[in-house]
Amino acid sequence: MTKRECLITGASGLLGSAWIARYASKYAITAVHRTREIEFATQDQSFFDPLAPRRPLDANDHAVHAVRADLATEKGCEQVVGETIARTTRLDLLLSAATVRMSAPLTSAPSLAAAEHAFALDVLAPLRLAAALVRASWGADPAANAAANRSVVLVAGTAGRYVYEDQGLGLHSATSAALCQLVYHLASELWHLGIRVNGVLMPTNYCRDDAEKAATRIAGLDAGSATGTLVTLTEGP
Amino acid sequence: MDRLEDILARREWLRRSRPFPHVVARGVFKPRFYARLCEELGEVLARGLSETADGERFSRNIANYDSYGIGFRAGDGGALGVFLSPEWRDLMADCFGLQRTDYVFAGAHHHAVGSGDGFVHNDYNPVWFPVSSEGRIQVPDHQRCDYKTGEGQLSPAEKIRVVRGTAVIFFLLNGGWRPGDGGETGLYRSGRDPPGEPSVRVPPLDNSLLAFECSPDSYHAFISNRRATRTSVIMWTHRSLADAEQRFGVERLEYWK
Repeated sequence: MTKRECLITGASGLLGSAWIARYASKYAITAVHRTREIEFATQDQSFFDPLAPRRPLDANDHAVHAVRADLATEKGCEQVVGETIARTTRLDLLLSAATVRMSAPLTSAPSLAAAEHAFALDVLAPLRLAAALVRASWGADPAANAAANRSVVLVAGTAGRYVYEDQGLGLHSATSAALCQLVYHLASELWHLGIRVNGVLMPTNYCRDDAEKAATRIAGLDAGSATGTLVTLTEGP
Repeated sequence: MDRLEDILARREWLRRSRPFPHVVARGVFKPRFYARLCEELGEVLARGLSETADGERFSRNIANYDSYGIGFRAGDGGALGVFLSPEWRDLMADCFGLQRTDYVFAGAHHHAVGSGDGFVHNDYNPVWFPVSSEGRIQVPDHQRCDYKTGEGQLSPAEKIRVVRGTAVIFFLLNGGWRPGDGGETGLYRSGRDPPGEPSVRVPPLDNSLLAFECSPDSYHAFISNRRATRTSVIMWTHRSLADAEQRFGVERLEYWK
């Protein structure tokens, strides 16, 4: 079976890890990370049994291709798309899960200091990646995109849809709200290219179980036909 | 002594090549054995921290390093004794295909909250031990033969200079580490990299370990822990000078300053 090609950002996070653990056997994954390491087999790392080093391990069967990049910069996004397209000319799924996680009063110094980076990583990066993919690959053959059912899934927080009072989620809310709008508008713009765009809204402070559920929903979105939809894992406050 | 196949839990350790060859593992020991390790080291911690060298307590015994340390003694037994066992020595040396020798250092480090960054270093150091007998594991004996200088009452025939081979850091008693807490071990491409800008951060997750071959390029450092204490068992296997010379050259050894 030919694997679908997936580019995921935020690959070392909870959701990214859940996605790789569950779907590395079905997707050929390019996994983008920066500050934390990927805990799966990659082109540079593999598992071994310390007591039987030659014993083959299932954990090495579906190695991902890891790319370390700073997606908060245009150069970083171009690097990621360049490396991805160099490996495959038929990317099927862009899964954008990289995000800045912080909780602080919106007008506090930490929030203000992090705001530019948060918008660059959470909002600009998926936009830049999608645009670069259109230029490098997707723009050439809309029929092929439609035939392959290619899509983009953007991950944001429910804080972009609901107001959580006094939890220091102002910055996260703002970037998530922007991502929600990005889903609608990107879906509209990429429709004529045969690329669908959907979003998944994660609970605030989500846990491993939430990440597992989200991974399942993302796979469902990728396999489905919807575009311009937002899936909310849990309702708001 | 517990057999490793009975106490090791997750037998999937991850071998990485960047920025230098190293191994990380999570869920290293089975819960019951891990609890014994915590109980035994917790008892040592409960004796309090000493600002002067003290063999019975965590103490300020490492120059220019913002940490409290204690060495394990051969024959201490208990669960912590696994780190001075031939089986564990073999396992860690074999991870990197290194020569096995009788010379092993095992102990523990404790960093109070707010401990400063360590300096970026490679552990490719020559050290001294009393000559081992009958193939038994030999630990340092600082009174008779200083680990760093070899000074002491032993005659030249009674002591040996070896080189650190494998370094192992096993994390425990750090309860619920989260990103942003600090206290990671940073791995670096160069000895000139700032401690706060590592190539890789290895978090001090409970029951996890980091191991690497000590080489001229195995640059690493402790990164300041802002929110929580950090405790770890540390251990080195050692290789002969001849083996070090063949592998990397003795001219690249980091002599103690």
